[in-house]
Amino acid sequence: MRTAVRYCINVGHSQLIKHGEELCGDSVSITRAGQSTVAVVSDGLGSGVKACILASVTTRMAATMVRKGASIDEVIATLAHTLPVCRVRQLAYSTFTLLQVHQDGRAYLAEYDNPPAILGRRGDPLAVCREERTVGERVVREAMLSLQDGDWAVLLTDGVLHAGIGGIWNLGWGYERMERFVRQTQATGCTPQELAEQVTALCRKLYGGRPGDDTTVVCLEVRIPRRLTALVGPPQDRRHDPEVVSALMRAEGYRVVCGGTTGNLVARELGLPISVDLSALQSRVPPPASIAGIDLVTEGMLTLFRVRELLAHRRPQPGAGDAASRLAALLLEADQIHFIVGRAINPAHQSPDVPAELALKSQIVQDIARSLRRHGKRVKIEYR
Amino acid sequence: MTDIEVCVGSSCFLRGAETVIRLLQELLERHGLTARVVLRGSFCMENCTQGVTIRIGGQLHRGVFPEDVPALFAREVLGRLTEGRTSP
Repeated sequence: MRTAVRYCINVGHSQLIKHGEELCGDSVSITRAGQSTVAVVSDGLGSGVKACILASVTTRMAATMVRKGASIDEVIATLAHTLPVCRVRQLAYSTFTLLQVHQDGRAYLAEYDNPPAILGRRGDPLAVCREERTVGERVVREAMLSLQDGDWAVLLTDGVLHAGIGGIWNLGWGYERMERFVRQTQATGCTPQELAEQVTALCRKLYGGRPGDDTTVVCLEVRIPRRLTALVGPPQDRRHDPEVVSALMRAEGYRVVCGGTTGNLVARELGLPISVDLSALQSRVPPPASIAGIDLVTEGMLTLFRVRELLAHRRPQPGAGDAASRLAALLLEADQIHFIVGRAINPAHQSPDVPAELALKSQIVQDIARSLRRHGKRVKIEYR
Repeated sequence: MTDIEVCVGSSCFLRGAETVIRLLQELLERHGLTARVVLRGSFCMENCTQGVTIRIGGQLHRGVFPEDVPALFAREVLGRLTEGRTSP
């Protein structure tokens, strides 16, 4: 039986605050509800607190209304009536870009006064046929899209285009140069969060470290969800070993085993040999092992400790062969991650030679989960 | 065949399993034994509380430190080979 594809939508975003301000005058709202993900980016008039309020009201209201099925006309009418009017300018104004993506790939894009969103289908540009429509006094550009595995979109505010204005670039970075950078960076296979961060990092440089405008980038990626199940540590009750191993083997997608004893346990339950790969000997973490049918078998705490570090600070070096880099790369590749954490206590970790922090297995798994969620992953932790 | 297994579980790794493996690799090469002796890694041998755990020809050696390696190698590996003892 073949069921309809349900895509997962990965989202990342990054912002710069205008130099000298404490609040960002751009706002981002990402809501996942029911069958769709709605991302809204808004740039409020001016900067600082006033802009911040205008933009936040816009993103929240637009996201909520669209999610509940309201049309963009209703959203604009409501915004026109509710946005607070700026006393100086006698205006109530904020821009927005809204992208709603349903799990089946149908999508709706609406743009009002923001730079056009950039869309791609893997390495190629995705042609979007936008229709211009006047709602009240505002011109909105809309498009209905049908997205598929590997499609991506970048929503932004004009702070990105103006980066470097009057400094490195007379007229700022500009749309074309910016678009080229986005497409080149996206093609390196980075996650949406990394893409967003790389764009704002370059903006910050172009602005010479003092952003002249609030700057926002939101990246979305549509793909068939990849699953990863990781068994971390043996279950507290030995009688649960067979059950836990069969849960791992039934799981779709990547299968990972963390922990020396756990590796031995899995090999024993499956009646398969386990062999440690000494060619990947590297000083930070013990080498990985292999068991047929398991994508990666690693030592436990030292490896997880290093994975936590890798995920918190930077992207693991591609091609780095050590167990921790390989595990971090697999985790970043997956969309839905299930940790099965065994609660058996390892007597070796009670020894005074072992740093206390290493014994805090569940804490480390939770920290890793937090980093992964920041990358837009869905993470479930189950204790056994 | 005399096989050597070195535990690279968390505990043994922290206590220098990697150095022990390097030393054993060097010794095997120096004595031209790389084809006769298989050096393997192993996950936790469940003797975590002392030092690096090594199994040579089926016999367990606990609490091995890098400085013990040359003597252990001479006694257990070279010894076994010259006496013609084989692993069980």
